[in-house]
Amino acid sequence: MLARLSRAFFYRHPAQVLLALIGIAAGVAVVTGVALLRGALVESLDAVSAELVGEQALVVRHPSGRLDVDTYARLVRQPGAPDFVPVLRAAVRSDGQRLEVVGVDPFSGIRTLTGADGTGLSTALFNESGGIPSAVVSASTLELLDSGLDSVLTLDESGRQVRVTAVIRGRPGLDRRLLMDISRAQAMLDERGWVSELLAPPESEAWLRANLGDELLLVTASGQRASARQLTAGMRANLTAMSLLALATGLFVVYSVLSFLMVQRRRTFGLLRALGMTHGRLARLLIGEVLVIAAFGALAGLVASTVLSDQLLRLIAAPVAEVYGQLPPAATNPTPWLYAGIWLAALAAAVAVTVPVMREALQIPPGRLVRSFVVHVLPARKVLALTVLLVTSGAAWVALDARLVAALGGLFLVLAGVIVAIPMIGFGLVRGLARRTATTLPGRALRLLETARGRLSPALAALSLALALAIGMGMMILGFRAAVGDWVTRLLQADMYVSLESRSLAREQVDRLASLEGVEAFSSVRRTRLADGTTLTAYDLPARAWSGFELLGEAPEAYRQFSAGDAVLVSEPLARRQGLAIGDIVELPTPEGPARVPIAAVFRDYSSEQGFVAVSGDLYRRWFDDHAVDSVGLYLADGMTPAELGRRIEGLALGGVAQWITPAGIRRESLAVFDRTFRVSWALAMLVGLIALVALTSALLAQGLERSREHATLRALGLSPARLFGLVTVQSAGLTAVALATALPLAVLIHYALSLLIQPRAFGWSLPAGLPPAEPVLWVVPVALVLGTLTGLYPAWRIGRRPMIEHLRAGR
Amino acid sequence: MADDCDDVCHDDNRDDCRDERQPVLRARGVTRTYHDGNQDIRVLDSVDLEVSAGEKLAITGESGSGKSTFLHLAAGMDLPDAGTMELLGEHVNRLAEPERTRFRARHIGLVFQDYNLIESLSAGENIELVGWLTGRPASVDDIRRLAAELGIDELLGRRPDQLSGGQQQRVAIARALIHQPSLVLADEPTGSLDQASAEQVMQVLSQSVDARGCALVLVTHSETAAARCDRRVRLRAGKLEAT
Repeated sequence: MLARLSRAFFYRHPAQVLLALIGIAAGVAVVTGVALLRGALVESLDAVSAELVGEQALVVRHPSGRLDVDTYARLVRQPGAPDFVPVLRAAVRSDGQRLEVVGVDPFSGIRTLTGADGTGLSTALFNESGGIPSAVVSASTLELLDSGLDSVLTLDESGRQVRVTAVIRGRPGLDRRLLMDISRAQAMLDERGWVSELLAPPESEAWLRANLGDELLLVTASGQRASARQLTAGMRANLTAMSLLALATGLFVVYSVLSFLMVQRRRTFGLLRALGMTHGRLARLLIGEVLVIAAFGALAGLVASTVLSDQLLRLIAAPVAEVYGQLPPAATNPTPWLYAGIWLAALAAAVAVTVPVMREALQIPPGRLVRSFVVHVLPARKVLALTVLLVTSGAAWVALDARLVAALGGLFLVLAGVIVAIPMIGFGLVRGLARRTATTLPGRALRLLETARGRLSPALAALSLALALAIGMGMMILGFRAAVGDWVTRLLQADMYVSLESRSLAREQVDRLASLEGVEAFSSVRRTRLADGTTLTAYDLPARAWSGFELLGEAPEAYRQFSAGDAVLVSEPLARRQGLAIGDIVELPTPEGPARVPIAAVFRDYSSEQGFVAVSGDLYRRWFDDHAVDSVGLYLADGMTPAELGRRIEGLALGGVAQWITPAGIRRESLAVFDRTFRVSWALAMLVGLIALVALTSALLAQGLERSREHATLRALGLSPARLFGLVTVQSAGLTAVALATALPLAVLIHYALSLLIQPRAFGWSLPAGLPPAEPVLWVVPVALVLGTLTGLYPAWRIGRRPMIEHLRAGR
Repeated sequence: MADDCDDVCHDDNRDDCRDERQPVLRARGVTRTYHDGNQDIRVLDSVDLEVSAGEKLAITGESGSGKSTFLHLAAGMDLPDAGTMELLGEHVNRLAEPERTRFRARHIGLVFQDYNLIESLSAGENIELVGWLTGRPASVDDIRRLAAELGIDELLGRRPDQLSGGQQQRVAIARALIHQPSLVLADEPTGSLDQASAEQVMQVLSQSVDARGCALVLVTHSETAAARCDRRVRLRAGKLEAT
């Protein structure tokens, strides 16, 4: 009987039920989508070795990133040597997608891999026709490239090609990879005699530790995972925070809709209580309803999340490859446990969020047939007390705990505190506006709106939060973008930069470049990863390039100490992560043993979250006897242009594909990478905004239905349907305007919190202090006003066309 | 009374000005049928009725006899399936919805059984509401004078939930009269009140209508209320019977 009662009511209000389902589904979809994405980010680093050798595969690398075949041969010849799997890896592009060539020896100790049609790996890799080397590709990669079996993929601008001779399925670790025979890959990439790494089985760890020597690095599977986690920690934290905000906004919708469903039946509940229904049975009825709605909504959200996560992964794949050097799988890997966990969590959250609504339902005195119902609004004093408590708790957490989780948790608490106060402030504004325009339609509309505060408060808070988030994040991103642009401009002092594709430049090649006519001076950079995981960057810089370093703090002696090799510099992210400061000593593992050097200065850097140590080229060569460099910066004489010198470089025959680029080009590319990195944040912010608009629609519909008698009275007294439509539309526009007004200060708070707290703790870098950019306000305000007004059109239409007589009698 | 009515007429467009002898309300062959599933329910069946200016008419009848439906048709809130409903010489059912709404706002005062005050507005604002809807706001003095007449001048700042049933209905009557309508339609105005309050409300309503020379159509179950009217008709199964 009770189930029939609920069912009948839901059937009568399908729009509300649909909105509740959308609210839950959207929140769950975003949280699940981001959870899947986070999983993909963590799994992306060690995926290749895991697929080729096994989950616990060991990896042997040279600090330079390349290992010559002689070293490999020497290792293999040693007694007790394990079955090594030499691998050559190189980043390539095809059809605009970032891919990786993975060259392997199919006859080495790799796991058995067969194509979808049963073709063996060796057969597929040697099945060469027309002089085009073969490649084995995963099905999802082919889907990504919109290609098929036997298709020819063109790589990069060099025009190199590979033919897809087999497709493999169920190996997500090989997504975005072109599996090739190593010798053909070496030939194609002009890397004969070199491999990138050696894979070894996990049981060989003891042998490797005893025999590798100081020259080579051993990376364990757990080390790889930890490294992947650490590398992407900031990005994952950012995504998680956004998804939780989306869920919170979705729960506002649920609260709003379910409180409406309760209010509509207040009279029924009073009757049921009078007829003998106990508190317990009423509570069970309400919880049952919430669970049914949440169960279906969450299920829809889980289905949507699969699509969403793959779309988010597409958005994030390029920046992850560019910024972190990792290739995430082409598709996410959902597990039943994840789905079940999120589904249950969504049910629990939906029940939790409706507890206040249920409490009110249970407090209805038996037999009290109340027609109207004023949703309980906290008194101003209590609101202020709660706000102060939450804001001070959040601030204290941030101040006392330097971890990222504290910054995020503190920010959430502060936001929660502000959100609690937003309805009070927002409806204060509505009251003020209504007073100023008391005798006009907008004035009346706002007056009626103000008195529906209890009903509309959650929607106003949700909308304000979503708008603040969009604007605040936009401010942070644009502020950060400007900072990165300035940093790149300052850093790049040379007139052009030259490198070789997929390999470093030998000293002789550098000398040839430096001696070109029209070259006045040159700089060079060599980057290497040390045995302890520290990244070391060696610079040879002319004096005028020194101003490229933006030193944080006073360090007048830094250049002299650095150039003389008496001290090193550390980038800000590394200094923050390891708590380093000027004068501290860093210990670096070198072939000559640990080198202890003082820090001359800390400099601003946005190139790496992990940070690095900068040393002079002379000191680096003294330690490592490595005379190669990764790139060379050329300072041109008057009258020489980069284009002209570029032509001369192409004629040099340096022994590889020479690439040159101007500082403007690097700046453009850097900002393009930056924009791609933050696309996913924009996408999530937009989703949060859309969910907030659902909250607004639902609240307006609820308010419209709840006030149907009032609207019918106005109609009876002479308010035309058009004016009633206008009245409700003005209300939705007014609500959006007030949400915007309260969102703006909150947006500035979010901007500064993200820039000054979250960024330094998540990524290690700080942003120069300054006023927030105004562009996001100019973009979001008109869009929000238009969308907010449009959102009100449907409820206005519904309210306007309702038969007035029926509602005049309602409640009798 | 005639002067009062003239004032009302002159207050509007000249076209709206009516001859006092002309009926304020004239229903001819008014029929209204509702559909309930496959069943047609004829609530009003060829009703003919005239109400003159300044006349007070009581419509009585059993529940479901069509009293309220007649009132809704008279107010232009609903349309007859057949017949015509003429208000101040205007065929209301021939007007488009916006015109009907404007016509109602200008010429008709409505009083409901459950008062139907806007809960978010104060008593004074509820009275002021019609002036806002018609675009002819009443002056503060007019509102105070009318409120004093109805004995609610001390209550203008209170919200409906702070008023008793009788007080709320007086506010509703003030709202129905503030714009000097030609016709007041009252649907069971004492139906939700105790006997003493009902007496007071009917007295106030009757006196106020008399004072303004407006016609009153009162739908009621109450014999006492009906006795205050000049004439009484009874609806039985959608048909009109004189009593």
